[in-house]
Amino acid sequence: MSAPAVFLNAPYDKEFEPLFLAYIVGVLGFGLIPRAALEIGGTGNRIDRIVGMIKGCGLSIHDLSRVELSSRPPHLPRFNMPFELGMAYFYSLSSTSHECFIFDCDDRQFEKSLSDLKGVDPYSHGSDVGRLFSQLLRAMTAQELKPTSHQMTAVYMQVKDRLPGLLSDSGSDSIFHARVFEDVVFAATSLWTARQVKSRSNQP
Amino acid sequence: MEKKKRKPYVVPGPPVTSEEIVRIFKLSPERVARLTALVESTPGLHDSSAKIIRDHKLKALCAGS
Repeated sequence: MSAPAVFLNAPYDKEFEPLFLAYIVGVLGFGLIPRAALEIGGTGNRIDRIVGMIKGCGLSIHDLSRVELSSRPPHLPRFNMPFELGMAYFYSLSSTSHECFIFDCDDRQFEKSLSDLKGVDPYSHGSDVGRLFSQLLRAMTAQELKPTSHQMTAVYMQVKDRLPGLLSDSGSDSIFHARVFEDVVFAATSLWTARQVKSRSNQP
Repeated sequence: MEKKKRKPYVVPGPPVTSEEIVRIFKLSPERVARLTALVESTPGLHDSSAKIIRDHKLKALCAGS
C-alpha cells in the first residue's frame, strides 16, 4: 500500500510561491504525496491528463485566493483553479475515495466569487504561511504522523534555504517548473523523514 | 446559512518515503545524489539528521535502479 497523493490546484505566480512551497511541505508532513498539473507538459491532451491525475489522488486542495483579473492586459479572470475544482468536486461526488478541500484568502472573497458553494466551509489562510499550516492541521490528521505547525515551519525554512540551490541546479527562476517541483518534493521528503526517524528513535 | 462543518480527513496508509518519490518522478541516481548532497548541507541540520538523510539516499538509489 502506498501513501495517498494530493492534487494541488493553485495559482502559478511569483507572489504565490511561498504559499505553494508551504502546501508542499505541509502535505508531506502528513505523509501525503503532492502532485500538481505543472508536472504535465503543454503538449498532448492536457485536460485528460489533469483529470487522470485528479482521479489518481485521494484528495485535492483547491486554493482560490488568487482568482482575480490578471495584472497585465488583457485583464482576464483566471479560470483554471475554479475549473479544476469543478472537475474534482464532481469526481468526489461519485467516488468515496476522493475528498476536496477549498482554501482561500478569506471567507468573504470566496462567497462572492463562488456563491454556488455557499454552505461549504473554506479554509482561510490570509496569505500567511503560518496560518496555512494551522488550516492544514484543521483539515486533516494522520494515523502515524503527528506533525505540528512548529515542525512544518522548521521544515519550510530549511527547504526555503535550499531553494536557490535547487533553482540553480535546474536553471530556473521559479518553483512552478516540473523539475524544480520534483526536486523540492524530494528535498522536503528527506527532511521530514529525518525528523520522523529521530522522533521514533526517541520514543521509549 | 450555517456552514457545513467537516471532520478532519484521516490520512490512510503509510507515510510517503524518498524511495516512492524517486519512483513517481523517475529521478536518476545522479539527481538523487546531487539533491541529497544539497539537503544534507542545510545550515543548522544536526549530524544525526544528515546521517539519516544519507542512509535513505542509498534506499532511494536502490528504488530508482
